Amino acid sequence: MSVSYRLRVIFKGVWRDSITYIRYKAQLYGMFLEIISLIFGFLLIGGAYNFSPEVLSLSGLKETDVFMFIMTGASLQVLSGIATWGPLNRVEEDIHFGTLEHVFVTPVNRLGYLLSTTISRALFSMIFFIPTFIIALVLSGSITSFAAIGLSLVAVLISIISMMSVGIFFALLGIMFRQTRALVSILHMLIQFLCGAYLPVQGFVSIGPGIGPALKYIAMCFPFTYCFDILRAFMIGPTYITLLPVWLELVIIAAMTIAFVIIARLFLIPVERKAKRSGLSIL
Amino acid sequence: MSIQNIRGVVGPSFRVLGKSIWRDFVNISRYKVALFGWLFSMLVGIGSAFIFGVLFQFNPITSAESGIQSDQVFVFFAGGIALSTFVDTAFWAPMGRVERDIHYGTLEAVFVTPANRLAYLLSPTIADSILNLIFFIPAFVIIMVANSSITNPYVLGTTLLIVLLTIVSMITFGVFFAMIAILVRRSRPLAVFLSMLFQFFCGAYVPVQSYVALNQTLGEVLKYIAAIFPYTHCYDLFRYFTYGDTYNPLFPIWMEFLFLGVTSLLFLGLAALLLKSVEKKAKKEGLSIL
Repeated sequence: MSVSYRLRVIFKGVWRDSITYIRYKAQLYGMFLEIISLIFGFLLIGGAYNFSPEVLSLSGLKETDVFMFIMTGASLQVLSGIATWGPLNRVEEDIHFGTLEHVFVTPVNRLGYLLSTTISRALFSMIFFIPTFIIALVLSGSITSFAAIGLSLVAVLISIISMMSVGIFFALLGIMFRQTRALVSILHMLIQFLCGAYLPVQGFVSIGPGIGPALKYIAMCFPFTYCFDILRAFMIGPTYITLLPVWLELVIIAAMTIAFVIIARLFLIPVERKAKRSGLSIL
Repeated sequence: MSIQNIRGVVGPSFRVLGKSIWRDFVNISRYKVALFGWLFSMLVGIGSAFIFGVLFQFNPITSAESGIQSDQVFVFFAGGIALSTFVDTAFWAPMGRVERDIHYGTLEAVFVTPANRLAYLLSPTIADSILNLIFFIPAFVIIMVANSSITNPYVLGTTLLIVLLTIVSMITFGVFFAMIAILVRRSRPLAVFLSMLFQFFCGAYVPVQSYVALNQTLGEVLKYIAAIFPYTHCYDLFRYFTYGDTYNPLFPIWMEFLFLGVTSLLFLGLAALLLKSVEKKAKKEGLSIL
């Protein structure tokens, strides 16, 4: 199968998703309202809470940095749909409409089809990412630093690629096991609370001996944790204490991204077998 | 109206209510994954409240305005999370029922029979509230242990009373929102927005008293806007009875009970008014087209 044909599948998939997003504007408005209410809620949290003294010594943050810290996480959290709800919703919709079967009985590139859903979700998420990213830059005092903006954008790009690999994996899980919604919901919660979107993972150690370090090491098993950490390192600057050296975090993200693509590629084999044997149209 | 006529109206309404609740219970027991999800959400909620309580503390303005000590974050946050599950039920239960019935084509059937529409819409929130209560109780026990109030019958009794009042208030709002769900159809984004707004704005995670930390005037304005919603008073009363006299409530306690009663009745009244529009719509256009 030629490269141009694969690209055509991806392009057509992205085009179809873009049309769907434009046609059903309620989702766009809903996400917009959700972001507004989140920023408002974080502002209230930032006004009421301070970091505890232990967290300050472990993370290098200032006592009153709560709103800034949460907003830097929120800017990346906006993109988390690339790995979770975006691909799953597309697969579930295609199962519902009966079009998933069509993808698997034609010689169309399956990974190309799955990649298109994550790419279109990434493009769609950009609408909401840009304003939250600008707010985070303003709060961290990096809006005038080209180096901080450039490096942060590199971190975001790396995170998007990493989330896309996880997204393909979850889309395949969605085809294979159907009721994957509960699993994705759990992952979504983990990203929010364990991987450092809104809470500093460095501070987990202060929870207590045993459970604190254990939670920290569990968080360090997910690529998202490093994505949040690297973004903060670039935005906040050298005062921020990262979980691991930045170069090592970049290597881990790259390794995990490749691992998820390989797992997805391997997982495609039983999915294709299932499509041939039992079909994919039954809900 | 004679007693027999009243029985003729009330009897079938209760039957509709009972049958619908039964149907919801059968549904829930059939799809156990949802129950697991419910339990897991509560566990994650309490777990994250614990982590939040270790990593954060109330700033001096919040402590001074609310009377909560800076290190009492866990009890505050966990209480908010546990109580907000009932608030969520008010949005998702009726909307889920209406969406499902539109999808199956059974909503039309409810509106072409003399079945009591309000009773039908009440049932999903009642069924989900009963189930929610099962998952709420362990969380409630943890909160009371953390607050050292587990052996204090006054605190236990009054806080449980507030939980019951929250459920009643939430049910009235649930009926109102179900009407919106029928009228507007794609109301899911609206539910997400309102649910998040209520959680943040009405004091689930942040004391409303602390809004003045942002700005004195803005904080006061936000406080009065928050007072429009019954949930603000539910959270505030729950905290008042949990922390005791050291807590500074938003308004005098008697006034908060009054607000809670009035706002709950208001939403029920609005739901009854909206029902007329829904019935008119059902007669004119039908309800089966997505």
